[in-house]
Amino acid sequence: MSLTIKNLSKQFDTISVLKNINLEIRQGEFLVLLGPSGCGKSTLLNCVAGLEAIEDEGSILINAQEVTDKAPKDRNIAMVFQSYALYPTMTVRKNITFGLQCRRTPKAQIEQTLRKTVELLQISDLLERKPAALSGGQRQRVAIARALVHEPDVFLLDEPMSNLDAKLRAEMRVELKNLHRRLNATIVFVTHDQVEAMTLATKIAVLNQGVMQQVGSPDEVYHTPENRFVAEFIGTPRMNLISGKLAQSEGKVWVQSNGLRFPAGHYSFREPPNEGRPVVLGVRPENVHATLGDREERTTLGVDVRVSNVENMGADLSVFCEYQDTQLIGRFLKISEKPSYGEQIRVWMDCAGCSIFCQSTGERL
Amino acid sequence: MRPPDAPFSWQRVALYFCLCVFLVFFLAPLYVMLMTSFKSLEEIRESNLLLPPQFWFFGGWSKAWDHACVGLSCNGVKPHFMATFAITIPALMLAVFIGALNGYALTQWKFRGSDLLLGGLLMGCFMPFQLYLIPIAITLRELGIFGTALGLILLHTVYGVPLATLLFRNYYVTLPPELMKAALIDGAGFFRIFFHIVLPMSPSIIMVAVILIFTGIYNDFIFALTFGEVGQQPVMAALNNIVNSTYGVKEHNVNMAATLLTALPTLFIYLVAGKFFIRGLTSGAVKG
Repeated sequence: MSLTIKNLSKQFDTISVLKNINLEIRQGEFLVLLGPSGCGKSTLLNCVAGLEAIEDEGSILINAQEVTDKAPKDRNIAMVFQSYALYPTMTVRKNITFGLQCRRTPKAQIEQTLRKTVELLQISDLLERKPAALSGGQRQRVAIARALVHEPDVFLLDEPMSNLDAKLRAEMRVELKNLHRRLNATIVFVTHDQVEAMTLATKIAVLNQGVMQQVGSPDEVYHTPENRFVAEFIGTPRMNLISGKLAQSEGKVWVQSNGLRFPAGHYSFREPPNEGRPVVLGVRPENVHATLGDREERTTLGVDVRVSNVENMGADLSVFCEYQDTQLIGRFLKISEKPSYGEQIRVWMDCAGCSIFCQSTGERL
Repeated sequence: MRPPDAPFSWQRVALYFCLCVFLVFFLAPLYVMLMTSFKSLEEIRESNLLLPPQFWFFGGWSKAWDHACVGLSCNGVKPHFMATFAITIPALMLAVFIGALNGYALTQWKFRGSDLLLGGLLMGCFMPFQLYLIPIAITLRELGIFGTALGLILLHTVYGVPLATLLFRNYYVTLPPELMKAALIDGAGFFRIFFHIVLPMSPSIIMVAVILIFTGIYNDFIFALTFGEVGQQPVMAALNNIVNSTYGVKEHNVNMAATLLTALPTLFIYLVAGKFFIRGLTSGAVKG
């Protein structure tokens, strides 16, 4: 029940939408394909499903079996679509069993599978309804049921939650995660919503303009982004990026910027840090604090800033500050630390978990 | 809540006046036909065209239906109705079915050159029939079905397909592509998707196609006249024979009755099938 994508490239006319994609998904993994609209993630999913032909290059293996040239129905996959794509003239029962009938499954077995699935998804009392008479959440369940009855090797979900309202989306997230755990299913899930990606995935693959940016666990992607794109795309509010130069003094490495000296002595560089190299330092907003507290002074730098905006998020505050022409965003946990607009304050930037990127290539150093 | 009545205005008066004038303009011929068909020949000669009959006379209608002369046989329009339906219904069903299949294939199973093919098919919609009369005559002769009902069925099917294809294509091009994808993953093939998913979503467009193509075939005169079976011509050709016979007394009441009889089926189909011009059959397939 694994999926392997090898050297996949895809072009539409002269526009290259996927560039040399390699991806490995093992049994039971929940892979989220994450990227902005138009990055090629849905195309990639359609290639896996067999709905887009692969003329150019690359191969797709399911369970180590070559399926690149096989029809969608012969790949043992199931798919849930953003619009659910329920057959409008069929009842829920027919919608769910249609695929089984196409595959000439014996009647008794169809009935049994149907019962099991609708109980699992709690839609038993909707069987005789038409899709038009269902709510968004119910349609979503029917679409998932339609995928489940095939007992596929791989589930493909194409932005299945973007038509749900926020509350329902949160509920479905939990339910989908539970379903994944119960069935130990192998899932590929496409979304542009980083919250969905972080909460659902066991593995995130970040895609931009047809190029795979990073593949890793949610923690890896969040804490050690491979490049500036990943760093900026994941996390709200977005990561603070400060341009500067590498400097060495007192036997330590620093990032020098606008008269500030950010400590980077603890940072594990992949190649020896050259003095004077132009870099971009990335610090997540939650590492920008209102007080020094008991944080290590070795990795923390106080910066005097002017508050330009404060967003109250309820549990915490997003504080937008300006240091010269650089904008810094901090997440202050305590409402009591709420600064007011225009106030001059000192924020403490903890560089312990920072990222440092090359200024020209944007790659992590 | 009812919207408040619009205040009186001369604009409105002028509008309704114009509408009434047009109403009379369009309905007057029908009124004259109807009245004339119920008059006896003497009354037609003596009375005013616009007056209703003094004595309602049904002889014109029964003669038109049963024993008006079409050429040499005097059986009225009745047998020609049968002949027309024997041609119209099979041709209609075939043209609509093939049109639906074409529209489905051209939108959901696009292949290299499918747009070109569609363009070629549509040429068929815009070419005047007269252009083809001689080639058709030769073709039908070679096929051995010249002057038979079968020949007319073939003709009308072939000439109905482009219009049907255009209608169905324009309807199917709006189907959400994800439906097809879902069906393909479910393992359905070309015909299963067509019969189980696409066709059940099409009643409104089928009705539109049926109305247009039925009217087209039924009202056809030139093919009926040229290729109709002698003695079994479709009703349009027969009507022409009745009304335009050049000898004997002009029986205006019979002519009017025969014309009205001939017009009834198209009128009927517009009234009945018009109800099925409904929208929103695809609602619920995608987000509602």
